[in-house]
Amino acid sequence: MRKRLLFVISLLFVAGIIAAYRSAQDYTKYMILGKTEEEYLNIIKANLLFTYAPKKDVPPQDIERVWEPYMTEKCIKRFSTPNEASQVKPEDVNAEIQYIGLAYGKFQKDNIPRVIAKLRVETKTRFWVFHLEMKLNSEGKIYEVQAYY
Amino acid sequence: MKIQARTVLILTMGLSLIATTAIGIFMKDGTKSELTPRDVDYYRAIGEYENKDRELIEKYIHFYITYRGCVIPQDKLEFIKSMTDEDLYESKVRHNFINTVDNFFEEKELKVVPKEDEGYSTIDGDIEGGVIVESDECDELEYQDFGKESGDFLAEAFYIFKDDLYIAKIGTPEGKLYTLYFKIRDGKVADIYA
Repeated sequence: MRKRLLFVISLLFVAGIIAAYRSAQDYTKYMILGKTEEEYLNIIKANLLFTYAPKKDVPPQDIERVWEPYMTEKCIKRFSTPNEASQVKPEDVNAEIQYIGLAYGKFQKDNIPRVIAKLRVETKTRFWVFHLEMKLNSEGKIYEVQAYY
Repeated sequence: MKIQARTVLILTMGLSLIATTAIGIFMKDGTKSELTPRDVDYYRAIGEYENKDRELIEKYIHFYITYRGCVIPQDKLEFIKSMTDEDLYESKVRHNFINTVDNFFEEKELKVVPKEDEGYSTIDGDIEGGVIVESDECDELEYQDFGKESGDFLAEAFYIFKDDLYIAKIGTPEGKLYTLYFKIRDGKVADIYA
């Protein structure tokens, strides 16, 4: 009798450990590229500021490099190509992220997760306030960026 | 050889501990962050949350933008009212529609009175300074003077769990896109901002 009881206890112990391990694993499916929401959004925020208001003499390759882990190659090319016609020097631009949020796929109609960011970009003479909608693929990388007011 | 039950128990526990430690070590990915208990609670809440109100909120946004600056039908207004925080309704939402703003039925007719001695016309009235006359109320004011619908449409609504917030992407008849934020509290719209 005592043996059976001990056997059942040990089985429950093992089952408990497995269940705890599995449940911890389940939550990681909501993480983006192994980062928690807060960590991931902080990275995206920093990258956006780096892209829209780069410091002086930052080559486009540096912008590509910071996006590399978080964006598809195709998207990086489009996103980091500077506007050759622009008269604005990087040191004259200020950028501010006014809002950033992660829209989890499970709560969206098309099940596509997105990062929504509201930016204010200011030069000496003009300013723009706009939204960026960044769609994430199944790997968690941004594959499409749309801008609107 | 007789193995004691206690030995079996100790062995099983020991082995499972070794196994879980080994799994932890071998499966640990350097790029992955450790989940704090706070993170686990947050992700559990995400896992358990079912966004049942989405359809209602989309309907709300649809009415809100469709009748923006227009006359909202009574049944739609009742729906908006039932889904809006009371303070927000009074301070903002009712000013969104033509037929719910203050003094809509109290439009006054202005009279232009010639002021011969000074050589120009002015507006006569019963308030100090002589500006507005309260003589004739416009009881025949017709709704059809205003647009029936704004023409704006809800392109998409994104739900942000962290902030309990809907970000509405709205299209205009001119082909532009703009954004409105709808903050939810206790299942009701508690704030609307751009």
